[in-house]
Amino acid sequence: MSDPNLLVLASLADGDKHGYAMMADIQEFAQVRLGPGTLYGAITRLEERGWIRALASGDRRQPYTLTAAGRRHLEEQLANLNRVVSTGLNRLRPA
Amino acid sequence: MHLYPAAWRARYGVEFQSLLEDMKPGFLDIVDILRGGLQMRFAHSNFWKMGAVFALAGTLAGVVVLSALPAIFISTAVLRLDSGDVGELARGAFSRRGLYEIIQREKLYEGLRAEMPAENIVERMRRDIRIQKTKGNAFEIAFASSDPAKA
Repeated sequence: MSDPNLLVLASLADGDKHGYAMMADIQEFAQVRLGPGTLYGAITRLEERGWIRALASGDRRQPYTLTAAGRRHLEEQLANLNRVVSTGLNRLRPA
Repeated sequence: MHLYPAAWRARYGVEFQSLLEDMKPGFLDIVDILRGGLQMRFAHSNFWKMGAVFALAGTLAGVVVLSALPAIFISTAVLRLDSGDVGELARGAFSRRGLYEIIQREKLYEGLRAEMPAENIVERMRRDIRIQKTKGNAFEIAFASSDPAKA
């Protein structure tokens, strides 16, 4: 699973994070290292779609939070993914 | 960073720079940044503006390629034989001796003659001549040269 949009949404699901923290978190939970261009490409798209939002910050590191629409989208995507995983595992099981 | 559109840099530039300072990017990260910048340019550019940029780039590439190619001049003549055979004439005209006489008489391939043996110059001339039968005993003969006067 290497969809950067989904990885960023999943990273923000347990709390607000800035870019570097997201990158480290994603590497830890998904074993995927997002490059800076890929990460900020995803952040830009997700913010444009209203799925994440920048929080007020006095720091140069900009934290982001998941919006309600972003949480719904993530739940739908994970449910779809879960169906695919369950189906695949069932089909692999010996008859 | 300058590969990214100005509007994107205005919005994300400071935090992106801060991320780069935190992570100390390696070679693959730099490739990723370049790819991200290009994608962002495509995603946020006006279709017609991008079309105009590509059209201009294509025109410039065409001009560069054309200016790099040597100009070739081709002279063509149509001849008719009252007697004899075109094939026989062509064999005589294309003989090593026949062609080398023309090369010397007309001072053709002067630059190459200092660098190549006579056989190679004759081969080169064979490639530069084209004979094509047209109607009856008539045929078209063409010679290509980078020098308009020689052609």
